[in-house]
Amino acid sequence: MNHDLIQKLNNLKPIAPDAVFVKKCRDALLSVRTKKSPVFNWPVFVWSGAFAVLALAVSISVVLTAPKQAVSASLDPNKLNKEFNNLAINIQLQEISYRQNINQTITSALSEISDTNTKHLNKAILEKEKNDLNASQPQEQKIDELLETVIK
Amino acid sequence: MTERELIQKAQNGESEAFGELYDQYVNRIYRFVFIKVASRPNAEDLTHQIFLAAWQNIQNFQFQGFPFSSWLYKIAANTVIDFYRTRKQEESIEFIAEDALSEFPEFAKKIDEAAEIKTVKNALQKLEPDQQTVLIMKFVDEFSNKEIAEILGKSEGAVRVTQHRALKRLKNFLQNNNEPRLDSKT
Repeated sequence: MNHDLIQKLNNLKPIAPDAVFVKKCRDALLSVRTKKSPVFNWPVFVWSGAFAVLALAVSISVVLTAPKQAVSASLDPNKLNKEFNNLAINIQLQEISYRQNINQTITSALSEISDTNTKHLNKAILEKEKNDLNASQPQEQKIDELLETVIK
Repeated sequence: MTERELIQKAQNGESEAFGELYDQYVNRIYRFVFIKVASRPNAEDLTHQIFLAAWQNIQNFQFQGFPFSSWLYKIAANTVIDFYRTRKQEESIEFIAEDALSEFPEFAKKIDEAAEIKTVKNALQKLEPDQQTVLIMKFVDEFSNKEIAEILGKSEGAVRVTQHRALKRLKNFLQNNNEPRLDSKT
């Protein structure tokens, strides 16, 4: 019976796809690009992954070892006191320097205001400018007359 | 050009090389799928999916003593499993039978042969998926037990046991199918 059964199964061999389907499917497949990419190529991916893991391990080891010294150094009371004192002196020096600059600025501003030789406050210059304005007055009167004529 | 050379060229992105591999295997893969899903549109869709997956993942194929066909059938077997996993409704046996007959234009005139094919195919449909796969691979595609074991990820012993049980069940289904129906006697 098994022989007959196997013979019956063998009779399924002639099953074949439609020729039109085979061609269409082939064309569709070959128009699709493969996933091959220089970035995600398997060996490249493996090596870059390995490098990333190595870099991570190195940076972790640096972080885990280096901070211990820094923390102990920063908690040393003598060093902290010294650092604090230096900080106060630096602040005071900066403040003195700032005040000196301010005083100089105020003094120079006051002297400029009181100084009649300064160009923009010089009375002689101002008078000259006033005269210049007066000199052009007749022309302005003429312009006024013309404008009034136009308005009328 | 040898199959190995074609695979290597396809792995380098040469689509024509993959096209030749497609030409070599499309009939076998289609037949394997068609017997399992029993409808031509589904078989065509799945065949396309299988070759598309193969083409897109050909970089992953490695020469490890098994032929390219084993790798291709492994994709096919998994694709059919996914198909049944996601499919909600079963197709009627009548529809399957009609569609199966349409695949044999040369046998259409020989009604007896066509009917026998229909009967065997329907009986195969009643087997467990693994049993179907083993019988198709063994007696239709003529794979060795070792190759089937590799494709299914089982031992050769397990394949032999599955094959034995599958033949036994298939025989029962066919015998029951040949028995005259009670309502036809009246």
